[in-house]
Amino acid sequence: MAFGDHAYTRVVRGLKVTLPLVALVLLSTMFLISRKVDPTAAIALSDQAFRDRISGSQLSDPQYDGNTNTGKSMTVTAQSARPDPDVDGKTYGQVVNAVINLDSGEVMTITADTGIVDEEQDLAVLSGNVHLITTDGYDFKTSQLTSLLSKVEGESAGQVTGFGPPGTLEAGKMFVKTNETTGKVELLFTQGVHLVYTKQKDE
Amino acid sequence: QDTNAESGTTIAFGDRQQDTSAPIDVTSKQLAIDEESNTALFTGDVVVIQDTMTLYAPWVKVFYNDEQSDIQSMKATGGVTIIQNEEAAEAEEADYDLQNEVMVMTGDVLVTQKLSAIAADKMTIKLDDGTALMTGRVKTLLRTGGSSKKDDE
Repeated sequence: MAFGDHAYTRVVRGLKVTLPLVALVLLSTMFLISRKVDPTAAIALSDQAFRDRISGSQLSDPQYDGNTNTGKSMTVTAQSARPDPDVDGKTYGQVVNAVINLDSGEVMTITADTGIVDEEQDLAVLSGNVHLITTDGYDFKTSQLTSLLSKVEGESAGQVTGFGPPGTLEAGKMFVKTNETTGKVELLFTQGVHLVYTKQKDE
Repeated sequence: QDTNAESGTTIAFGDRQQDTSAPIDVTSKQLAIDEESNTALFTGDVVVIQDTMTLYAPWVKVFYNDEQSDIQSMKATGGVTIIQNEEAAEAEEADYDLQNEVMVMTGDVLVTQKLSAIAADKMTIKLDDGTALMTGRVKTLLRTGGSSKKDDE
């Protein structure tokens, strides 16, 4: 019988020693085999994507406000624009909208697919479906319009079609000018003009 | 010397059906539109066509009414030629008043018709009934057959 009693107590006495040892071993190795968590690699972004973000420096809803020397205010807004990385003062815009307030209270609105504003050269180039509308009813379309920023002066690159209050108009080229003496805005069409006046029947 | 300017010769000119509310077709080299003063200045080989009438001039200024929806009048200078059907009228200047349907030509007016040509200082064409009043040193030049289309004295 003696052996039986002794075996049980010896086993229990052995376990009392080995079990904590095993627990200790387990605890100490847990940190060794756990997955590496590297706090420095926090954002999973490739360097290229990061570099694009910086060079693009995309602006949304940018707005350019300027006054022409004859006091006519001009506001150019775009859906998105980004500055030229190596030429400062030069901005490329998408879906551009330029609003020019004329002295007489009339407003001239010019919209285009793309626009380049270069303050250094005092130049804005609007291209792609350029659409010029004035509040007193003139509505012209052309492919490209180049204009100064400091005053209301510009010219179309080529053919202009559209209509004014009196009738429909086609011309080879259009100039927008501010008359030096009167300060009024004048539209000059050259290289062949064809205009058809149709009398308003409702008279 | 014909002193009484009003007593002139009334001739038939143009076509009774001249519709002064017909669309007006203008072609020219250049066109300047002034935003506020309701005018449009055509320069360089200007051709104005309305219904049966064609006007040629180097300089034509068009005056709109205030809403710019309609033309009130036109002024052509620098040597104007008006052709209507087979008749032609030349003068220094022409003023076309669309509202009253009257065209006044002034300065060395010369009207060439089939058989004769009439010169005068002034010609007032009433477009609605196709008559024209020639006033001021009215002279009728008869064609002696076989002459060229335009007698350049």
